[in-house]
Amino acid sequence: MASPSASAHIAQESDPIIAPGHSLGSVTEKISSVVLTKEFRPGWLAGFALCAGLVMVLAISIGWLLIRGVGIWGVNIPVGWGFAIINFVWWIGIGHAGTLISAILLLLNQEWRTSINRFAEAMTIFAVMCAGMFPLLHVGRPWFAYWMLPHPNTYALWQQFRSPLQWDVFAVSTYATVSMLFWYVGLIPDLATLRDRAKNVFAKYIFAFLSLGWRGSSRHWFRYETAYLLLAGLSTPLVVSVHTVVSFDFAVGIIPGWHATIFPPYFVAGAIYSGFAMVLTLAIPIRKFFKMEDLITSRHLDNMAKVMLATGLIVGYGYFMEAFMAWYSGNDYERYLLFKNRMQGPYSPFYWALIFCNVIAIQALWSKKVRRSPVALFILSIIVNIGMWLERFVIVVTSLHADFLPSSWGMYYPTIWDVALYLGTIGFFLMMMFLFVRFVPMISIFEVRMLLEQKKEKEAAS
Amino acid sequence: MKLAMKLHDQAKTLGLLLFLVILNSLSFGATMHGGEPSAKSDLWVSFLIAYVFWFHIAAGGLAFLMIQYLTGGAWGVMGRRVFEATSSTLPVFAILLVAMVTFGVPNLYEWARPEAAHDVILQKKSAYLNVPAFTIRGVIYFVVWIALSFLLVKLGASTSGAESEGPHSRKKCAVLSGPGMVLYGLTMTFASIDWVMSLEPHWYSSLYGALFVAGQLLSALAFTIVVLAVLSRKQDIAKFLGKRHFHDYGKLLLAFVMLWAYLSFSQYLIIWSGNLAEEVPYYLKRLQGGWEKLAITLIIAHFALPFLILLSRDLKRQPFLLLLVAVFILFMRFCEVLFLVRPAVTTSLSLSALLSDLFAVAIMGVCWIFIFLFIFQKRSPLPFEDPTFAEAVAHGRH
Repeated sequence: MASPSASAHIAQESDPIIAPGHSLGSVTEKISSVVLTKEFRPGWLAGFALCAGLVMVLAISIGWLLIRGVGIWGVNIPVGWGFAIINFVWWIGIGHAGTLISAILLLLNQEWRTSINRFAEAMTIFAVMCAGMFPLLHVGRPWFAYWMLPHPNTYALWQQFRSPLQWDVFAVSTYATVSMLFWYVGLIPDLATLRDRAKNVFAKYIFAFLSLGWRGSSRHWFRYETAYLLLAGLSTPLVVSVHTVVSFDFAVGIIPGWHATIFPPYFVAGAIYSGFAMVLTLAIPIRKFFKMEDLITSRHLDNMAKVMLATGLIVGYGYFMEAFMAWYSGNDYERYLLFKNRMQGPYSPFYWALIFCNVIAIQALWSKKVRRSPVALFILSIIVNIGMWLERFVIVVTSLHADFLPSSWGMYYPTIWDVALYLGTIGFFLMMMFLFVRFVPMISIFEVRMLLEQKKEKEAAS
Repeated sequence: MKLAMKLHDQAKTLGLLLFLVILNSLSFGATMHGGEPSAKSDLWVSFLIAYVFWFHIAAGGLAFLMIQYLTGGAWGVMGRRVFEATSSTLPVFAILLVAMVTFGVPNLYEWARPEAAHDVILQKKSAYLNVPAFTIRGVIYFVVWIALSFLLVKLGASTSGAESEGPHSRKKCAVLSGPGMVLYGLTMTFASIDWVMSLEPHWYSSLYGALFVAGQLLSALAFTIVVLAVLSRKQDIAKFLGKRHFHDYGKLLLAFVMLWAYLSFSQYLIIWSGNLAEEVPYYLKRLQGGWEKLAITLIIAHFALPFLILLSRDLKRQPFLLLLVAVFILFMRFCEVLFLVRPAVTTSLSLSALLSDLFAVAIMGVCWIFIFLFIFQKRSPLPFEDPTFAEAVAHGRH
């Protein structure tokens, strides 16, 4: 499709994907040395400890939840879907960038994806793990969660196949499986490199086991390329389907503010938007900390910022269409929800904060200077992460807390356990990222090498 | 002397354009004056169907012109002249809209008729749905679109200048295209609401604009493929248009077929499952009186069939086969426009209405294609002078 563009090639000379001066050996050395060392840097240890501490918070809040039940959360009638759904949607949205970068950008021949796909995929998997926790815990008795899967049984159990919540089970579990496979398949050649370079016998055994006997023969490469391309093709529809199904969770309901046909595309755009924001939030400190600026260049930042701007504008379009259609519908409930409740009601500060974060702040990305400034981008990416969380909060809470019948209205306040569980998942996510960057090559070694070689060939040809 | 010749040429072009457009509007106008009121509105519906069908190709061309500047793929360089020519035909649609606003609005739209004053819901939206607002918005849309296409064609022409100036102008076009796409998205959404969605003024769907745009891009893409495939039969052009260019276009076609299906299905599923009295009549109308046949045709032939066919890599790399698929998709685009517009007015599928719609599409099509070819032939069919042209050609050779 949008193949390596002619104009991009011109830009590439002055603005490379890989900084000049790298050879095949130096790339391998640079990336694998982070993994193949005995040393644990103090910065890494401190960060890891902090996140592990938050994981303790997670363990405690899950433990208490299992002892006391979901009553410890703020959910009640009328707001039965509180933080659990908000955080589920937030995390699953973040988990969209990985597959988009790995699969869709691969199919689009966008070679700049090479330096960021590995950790974007890792991030996806960890984010989906965090997302999965919420509905599992929200069912109240997670040990019966397998009831959601169709299976032969003698107790007349039949899943509700008309419910998007049931589709969620299939969509998310498929997504998690395919993302995992995709990540692992892409890792195999690099694991073999680590196996060959590892000095420590223990590490050598582990990498040898994981690299499935990869010897780098041309037959291996041929099979690998085929499998990878097929997996990319398979996971492309998943990028769209998962968040579409998530949007159906809301849109097939008839509550004002939920029942909007724009939901599927605007949720998908929002997912990619928040996913790229999270990639930036992680990539900017990582490239600084591990001195990877010559592999994750300002060109990467620029491109990711552009994707963020484009998807952010689609999200803004979604907000605008919601509001316009609420007015245009002529329906009193829709109009009340948007203009009286969301914009002026008790939760209106959240609504306006969300508009600021997701619509106004990102307009700065029109400027090339901002797109290439790591500090500015980092701040913006955090703002977008917050904005996307607020979006889900506003959608879930404002529509439920005041629907058709004023006598059944009520407020929603999260409890300390809601917050603790949420913080705990953030800790879990970051802890996994810390482990990942330390024990797995965070940038695809062989793909960067291939890119270098292709560049050399191109230069030789011209 | 040269200047005089040029002016003469331009005057001739302009005269011809005006003549065609006037002929076009007159032929509709003439048939529409006199006759039964219902027959009159029937003819206006045919006019609207033809208008939307051809407008899709022209306005979609404008969108692709901007998209190719923003993404900078090799496929975009190859299609640039087609996009420029199709988007240059937008003034024709502005003139046709004048004809519609002057004679057609009450015939077409319930909200513009006197009985709307007694409709509670329509009263609530009368601030938007009224003839002056409709007219003003129409003016705004066309000012935006024509200005964008004019500027992009003009700036694009200067990419053909000196080598040193080239990339600079492409960059200027890209800078304009970013905000241009935002404006395009917003104006096209409201145009879709005004012209088509408000045919059923009680009904609403916030996805409608996106669906309209997706269909529009698909139309423009199919048309571009047709033009490029025909061009590739000429010896002197064929050496520039490689198999991979068609492969890329085929992939894009597949992507937009899927996007259209995705959006159509999402809208349907949400409205079906909600089953609300204010929304579901839209689909109920379209699932009875013979329209259900058209609905099923759309699922099979607008989605399933092209989807399966376009999965083939070999097919996408053969210009002639891709051309056949593109022509078929253009026909399905007509069917979709028919599906969106016709059932709003005509409760059951009738042959006479169908024939009148096809006839309208054909008449307007002949005029429009003539104008398009006239504009297209004035310049080289491929942008040879584009600074990225050589690289785009090289891309096609794999």
